[in-house]
Amino acid sequence: MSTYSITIDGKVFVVEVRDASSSPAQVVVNGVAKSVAFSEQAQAAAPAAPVAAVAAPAQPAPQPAAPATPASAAGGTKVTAPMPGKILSVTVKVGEAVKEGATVCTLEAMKMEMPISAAASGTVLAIHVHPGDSVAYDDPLISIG
Amino acid sequence: MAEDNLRYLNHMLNEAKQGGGEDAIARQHEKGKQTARERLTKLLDANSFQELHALVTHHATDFGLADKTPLGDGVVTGWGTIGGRLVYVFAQDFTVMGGSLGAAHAAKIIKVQELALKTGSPLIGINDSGGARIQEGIQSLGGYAGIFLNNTLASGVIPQISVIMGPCAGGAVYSPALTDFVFMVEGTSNMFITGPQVVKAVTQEDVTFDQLGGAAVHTGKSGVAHFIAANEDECLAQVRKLVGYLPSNNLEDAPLVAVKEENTPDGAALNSLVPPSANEPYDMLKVIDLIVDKGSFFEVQKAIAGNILVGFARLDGTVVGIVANQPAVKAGALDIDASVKAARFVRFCDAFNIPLVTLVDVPGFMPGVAQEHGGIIRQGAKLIYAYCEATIPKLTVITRKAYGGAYIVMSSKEIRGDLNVAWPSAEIAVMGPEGAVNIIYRDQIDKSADPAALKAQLISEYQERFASPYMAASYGAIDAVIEPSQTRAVLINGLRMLVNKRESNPAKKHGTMPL
Repeated sequence: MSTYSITIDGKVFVVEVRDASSSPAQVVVNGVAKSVAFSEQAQAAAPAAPVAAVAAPAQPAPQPAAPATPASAAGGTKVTAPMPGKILSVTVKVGEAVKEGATVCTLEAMKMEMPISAAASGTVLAIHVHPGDSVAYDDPLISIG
Repeated sequence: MAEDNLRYLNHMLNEAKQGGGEDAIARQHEKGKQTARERLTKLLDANSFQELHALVTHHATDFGLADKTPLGDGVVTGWGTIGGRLVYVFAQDFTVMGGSLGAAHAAKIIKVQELALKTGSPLIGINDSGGARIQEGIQSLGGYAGIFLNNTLASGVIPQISVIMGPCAGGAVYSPALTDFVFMVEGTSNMFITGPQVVKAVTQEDVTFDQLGGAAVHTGKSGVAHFIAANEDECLAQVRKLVGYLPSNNLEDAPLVAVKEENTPDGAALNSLVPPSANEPYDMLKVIDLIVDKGSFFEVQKAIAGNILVGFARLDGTVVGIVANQPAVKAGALDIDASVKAARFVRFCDAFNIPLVTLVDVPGFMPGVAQEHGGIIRQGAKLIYAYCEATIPKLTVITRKAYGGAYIVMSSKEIRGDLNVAWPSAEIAVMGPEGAVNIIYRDQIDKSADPAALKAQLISEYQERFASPYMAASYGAIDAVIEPSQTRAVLINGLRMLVNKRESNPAKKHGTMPL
C-alpha cells in the first residue's frame, strides 16, 4: 500500500492506494474508500494523475501538485530500482525528453550514490518517487513513453 | 569386387551424412538452425573432423522401430581441432528421429566422453534433441545415466562445454548442467525440466517456451547458462574463443600466447580512475581493460549478477581468471547470485591451473530479508570455501573498499592470497567509517552538545586512521601499496614469481562444500 499526499488548488488530499496493479483499484481519499479505474495514456506527455481526478471531481482541470504518480497509472517503459535504497535526487521532470542511458535519478544504497539511467529514449510520462523515498528492489521509479 | 566394396562403403557413408534427409534438413534450416554436421564444420578447424561410429544403428524393435534404423542414430561424434588443439565433439542431429536419445545414440556419446577423459582433451557437446527415445524405454534412461556419470567423472579433469542449439528438456538438461560452460542461442534453444504444457497442468501457470527456459532466462535469471549468442555462428565462434583460454586438462597449463607490443595497455589512466568520493561508482570493466592484454578479457556469465565480474584474460600472454567487484552495479555488494557465480568460476580456475587475479572494491555482503532468507550465509560460504581451497597462484588488488567479511572473502592474504597489493585509494577496515563511528562512539555522540559536529570529526579521524591501506600494510595484511598505473607490471611480475608455486590441501576424499 502506498500513501500519497496530493494538493489540488490548495486543498490537501491524503490518498491511500491499496493495489495499484488492478483496475478498478481500491483507494482511500481522506478516509473515504473509492473505486478508481485506470486507463493507459501512453501518448500523453504529462497525464493528469487519475487518483487526483477522482478525489476531486468538482475541481476544474485538476493538476497534480505532487509529481509522484502510482506506477500503474502511467504506461511506457518503467525505470525500476536495481536494488533497495533511498532516492537522493530526481534529475528529470514530467514531459521532459530523455535519451536512453541518460541519468534520470540517483539512488543511494550501500553508501554508493548510483546514477540510474533511462531504460529507453522518450518522454518522461510520470515520476513515481520523491527524493528521500525508500524504494525496494524493482520498484518503479520513472515511466518513459 | 573391390570396386563394389568401395561403392557400397561410399553409399553407406553418404547415407549417414544425409542425416534425416532433405525435407528434415530444410525444416531445420527454416527454424534458423543448422544440421549437426554443418555445426561441426563451423566449430572445428577446416578438414579436422574425424568421425566415429557413423554406421551405428539402434537395435530396438518395439513400436515399429525395426523398420527405421538411420545410420548414426541421430548423433554425430568424433574429434577434431580448434586452433590446432585436439577436442572431442558430439552433435545431436535433430533431423534424425528428432535427435532423440536411445541406447545406441547414448553409447556413442559415452564412447567419445571416455576417449576425451583418457586422452585429456576438452569435450564439446552440441545438444539438439527432443529427449529420450520413448520407444526404447529404460534403455534410453540408462543412456542418460551413463552420460551423467561420465560428465561427473570428467569434471575437473577435462573442460566440458555444452552448446544448446534446440530443445533440451527433461533428463537431458542434466548433462549440460554437469558441465563447465553452457552456451545458448537466442530464440532457438530451450532448457527445462518440464515444458509449458506440464507446467500449465501442474501449477496453472501460462508460460511460453522462451519465458520458461530460453537463452535470456538461463543466462540472466537462473544462471544455468554462461553465454548467449544471437545466432548459431556467433555461438560457435564464442565456443572457439573460450577453448583458446582453456588448458586441455587438469595437468596442463592454458596455452600461452605471445603479446604484441601494441596490445600492451597504457595503464596511466588508472591513477585517476577511482573517484575521490567513496560514494561515487566507477566502472571496474575499465580497470580490467587497462590492466590485461588489450581486448583479452572474455567475460563469463555477463548477464547475471553484474555486481561481480568474472572471466578469462591474458597478462603478458598468460591466461588468468579475473574476479572483480563491480561498484557500478549494486554498489559491488556480494549477494547470493554474485557469490555463487564467483565461487563456481574460482573453482573452475583452481581445477585447471589458471591463476586468479582478484580486483576488490566491495562494501560488504548485501543486507536484506530476501538475501538472508535466500541463504546468503550458505551461498556466501561457497565463495569463501572456493577461495580458501584454491591452491593456484592468487593475486589480489584492492582498488578501494575492502570491508569486513567481504574483505576476507575476496582472496585476502589470510586465506592464502599469494600477492596482495592495494592502491592508495584502498580502504581496508572492519566496516565503513560512518557505521564504525556510530558503534564505537555512540554514547559520546549522544551526550555531546553538538552531536553532528563530533560525529563528523570522529568520522574524519577514523577515515584517516583506518580507511586507508596503511594500517593493513603495517600489519602485513597486504604486501605492497602500489601506484595504480603499475598494476599490470606488478601482476605480471607476480605471476612469474609464482610460476612454480606448490601448495596442496590435506589429503581427503573430498571436502564438504556447503551446497
